[in-house]
Amino acid sequence: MWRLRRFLLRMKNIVGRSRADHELTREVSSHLTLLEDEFQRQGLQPSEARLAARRAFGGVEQAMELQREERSFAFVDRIRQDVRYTVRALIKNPGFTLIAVLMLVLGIGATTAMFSVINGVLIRPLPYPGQDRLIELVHEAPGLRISELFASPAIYFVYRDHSQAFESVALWDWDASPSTVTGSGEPEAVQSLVVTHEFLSMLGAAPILGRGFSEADDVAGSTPTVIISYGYWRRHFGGTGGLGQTLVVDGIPRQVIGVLPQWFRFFDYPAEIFFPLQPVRSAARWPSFDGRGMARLKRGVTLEAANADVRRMIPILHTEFGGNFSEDARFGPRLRFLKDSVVGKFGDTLWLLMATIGLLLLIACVNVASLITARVQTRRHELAVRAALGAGWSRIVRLVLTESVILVLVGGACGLGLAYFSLPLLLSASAADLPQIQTIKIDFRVVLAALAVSVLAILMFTLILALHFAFTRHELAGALHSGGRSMTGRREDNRIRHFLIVAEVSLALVLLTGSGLMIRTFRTLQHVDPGFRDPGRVQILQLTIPLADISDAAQSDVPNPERTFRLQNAIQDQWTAVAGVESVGFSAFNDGLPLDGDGRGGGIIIEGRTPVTEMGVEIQFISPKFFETFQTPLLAGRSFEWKDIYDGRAIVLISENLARGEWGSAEAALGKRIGRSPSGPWWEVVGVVGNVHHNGLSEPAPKTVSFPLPITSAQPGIRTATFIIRSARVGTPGFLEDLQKAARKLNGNVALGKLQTLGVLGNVQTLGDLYRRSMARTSTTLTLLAITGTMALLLALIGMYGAVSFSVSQRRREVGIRLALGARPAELRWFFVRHGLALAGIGVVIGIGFAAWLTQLMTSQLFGVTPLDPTTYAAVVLAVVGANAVSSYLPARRASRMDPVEVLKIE
Amino acid sequence: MSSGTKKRVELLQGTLDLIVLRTLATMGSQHAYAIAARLEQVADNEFVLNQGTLYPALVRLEQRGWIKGIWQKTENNRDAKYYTITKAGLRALTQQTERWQRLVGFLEKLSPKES
Repeated sequence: MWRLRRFLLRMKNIVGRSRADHELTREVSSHLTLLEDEFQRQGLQPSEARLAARRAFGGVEQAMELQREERSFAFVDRIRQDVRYTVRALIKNPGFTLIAVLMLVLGIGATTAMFSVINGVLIRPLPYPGQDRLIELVHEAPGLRISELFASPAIYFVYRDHSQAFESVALWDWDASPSTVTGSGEPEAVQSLVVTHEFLSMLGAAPILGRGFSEADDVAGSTPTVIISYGYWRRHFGGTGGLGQTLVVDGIPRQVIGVLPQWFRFFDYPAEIFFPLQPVRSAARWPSFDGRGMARLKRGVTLEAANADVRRMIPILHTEFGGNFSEDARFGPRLRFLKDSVVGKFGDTLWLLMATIGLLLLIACVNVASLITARVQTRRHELAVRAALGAGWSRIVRLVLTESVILVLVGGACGLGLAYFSLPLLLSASAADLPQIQTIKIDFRVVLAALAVSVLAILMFTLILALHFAFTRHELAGALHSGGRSMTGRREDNRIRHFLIVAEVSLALVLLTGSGLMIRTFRTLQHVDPGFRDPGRVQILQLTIPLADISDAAQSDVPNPERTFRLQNAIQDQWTAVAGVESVGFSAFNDGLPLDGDGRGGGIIIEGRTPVTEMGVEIQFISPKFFETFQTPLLAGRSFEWKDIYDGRAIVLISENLARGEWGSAEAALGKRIGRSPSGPWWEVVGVVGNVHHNGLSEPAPKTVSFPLPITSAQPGIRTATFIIRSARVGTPGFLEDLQKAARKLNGNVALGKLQTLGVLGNVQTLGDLYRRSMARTSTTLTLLAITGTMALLLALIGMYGAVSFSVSQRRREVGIRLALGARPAELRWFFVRHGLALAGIGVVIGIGFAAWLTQLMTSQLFGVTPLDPTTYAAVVLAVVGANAVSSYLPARRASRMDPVEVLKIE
Repeated sequence: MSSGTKKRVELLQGTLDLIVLRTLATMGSQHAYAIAARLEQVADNEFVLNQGTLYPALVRLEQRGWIKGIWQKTENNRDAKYYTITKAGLRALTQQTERWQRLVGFLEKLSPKES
């Protein structure tokens, strides 16, 4: 009890210092007065009495100091003194302070900003309850060199019915093209997600209004339903009511049965309406992978156990749905946590960048440390005087430490501010497709990290300074005699400074090597033939035709295929006639778009071969002029005509890699037939086209089979088409308007005014956008690495320049004598440069070692270049050595131009 | 500081608090000078105390809540801070005295008998 009381009072006295001191002074002087009175009473003269009183009392200051120590915590006072002294010293030396703080702000700010991205994307858990048990259903077929196959209704049914590891299984699918909502209010284009009934509850998205999907909603033929997002509810229904109302989604009237909570988003996918997938068992085919699967693990089930469970179920797939993989395919599960699915390859990229920026921070710290030690050198005389006057060594070390702590704290605080303000910039620079980007912000973890980084920096300074003092302690003691002058730099001082230079050179080398490798990767990617030409001149836009314009009176909810395609054909012709347009083609849905990563994988069978299913083939339905518009070369045979489509001819175009793989050459493939099931029907190969990259330039181009738009009565028309238009006018004002106008000119059974008011011209982009986005990850990494690499080189340069300048100034006297004795300036310059180069040489050797080790971690980022690429290393070494030579030459030149007489006079 | 002072401080370190408490308990409210004078008197000038060294003990005791200081006038109409022992102080005094006695008894048992 009294211990706590005393502690609190002592704490209180840290602040209330002057009042307590006043009280103490009063008490002591009263004490002295009483003593004086006493001595006077004993007969002493007043002046003698005062002296006697003092004697009896003892040292007044000592007593008061002892009392102060009892009253409060003495070290706080001492720290206060140190801080005051240091702040004064720092203010007196604004150049040093500014540079040191700036470097720290840069280092800590960059590290913090990067960490907040890592935190948002990698560290923070997904915003779904029990997210650690959510997995994505992923499969692989290493025998076919396919690392990623997703799910399908067949997989959904089997896993749902037979699994022992999963609590529940869900299937979902999304389409890049928006759904058209008519019915209440203005027609609009809305992003949708098709899901099985387990999906929303699995993610913990309990509707705030109405109900979730039931199993009954998920049965084909049941009343069509829809659940809407909170945002859509607010926008469309004003945030009240809406339940039980009807939304006509793509021509199907759906009853609104629920509203989702505001927090719910399915990652970054901007879905606003969700409706049941209604998978049909009898229609499910195997193997097929036309959806995405998700499952929740039972409690305590590991990923390995779940994989084993899936492996057990694969034979069931075969027995229930017929089709099969060959043994060679080695088809199997490769489940992964949803979190890892979301983060994907970005994990590597982000950690790489984090490491990079960490290195930058290290360089900044090394620089500041060498600044501080240099300052200690110049203050040696002052410190020696202090030591001589009785300041303990610990006190001097403490002063220097206080200095670094203050610098780091100021730097850290400003760095956090910098991170806060630069984060939006960083995000917009790398926003292209960073997952979970909305959730990135500065939270307590980030602040904590900034703090940790600062503490780390302080520890580093402490280490460097401790080393420094260990080396120079006795030298410092002798400084008083020499008056702070010396002939040359002391070897001990040099040692630590040399160490810092070597460290900087090697760190800069590592960073530049990283940037260099990314530049090489970028250049290699640019030289990859994507399968199309001049992407900047290709306009891509999606067009969904209203159902009413293309359905038959008898069957108003199904588009008539022939009418659909004839109308799309007419639009194609109109647009081809627009001034400046070279060629127009289109595909069903969003098939065949290069580099968008959103393909329709499937299996094909080659007639006459043992039933080997060729998996992971990209299936696409296209119009005539499709490849011509992309300028994908036709290597053999011919491409489609409209006549082929209207006649319903069973022909296909295949990609070069498929043709070569199966028949050895493009020509050999012509006339061969392929199908989708062993019993036919068969399609004849009439042409072979060049490979087109679909999943990014660094991924191999998939094998592709292009079917003509399907005009059989078995399939409804496909109302959504992606048009591609090649024209030099792409991106110029008025072009899109001209296209609209041209479409409106269409007469026929469609009112094109409607096309416009419906606003179904969605997803307007150019092929150039897709191309850039595909390069985004590489170019983002490249940009950030290049920035940090350049900053590192710059900081290392400054550090080196500073170090050499300092060493020159320390050796001014020596230089003066050498000059006086007739040394030629060129020799002197070479003397200093040689010294710098020797250090750089050591740094380069160490740096290459580290770079060779660290760049191994970059392997997944690289394309067409090994982590040990000799060209990159040579260029980087040259750059670092060159920069080093320049930064030692400049101060050396200054030194060699000194007037020896002047120098020696001053000294 | 001379080594003599150090020795004296060492001598007083553990006991000064106890002595101050005891003095206040027996003599009632006192200012620092009176306490010091009383100590010198009791000690028969056997050990000489720098009166200033009382102050750390006083502030320590006051912060523990064992004594309480109030500014008053002396009989010669001088300002002085008078310290009074509190109830907690009395309790502490009893406890500390017991502890001291136990310690002293223990030491006596250990010490070789002097003839």
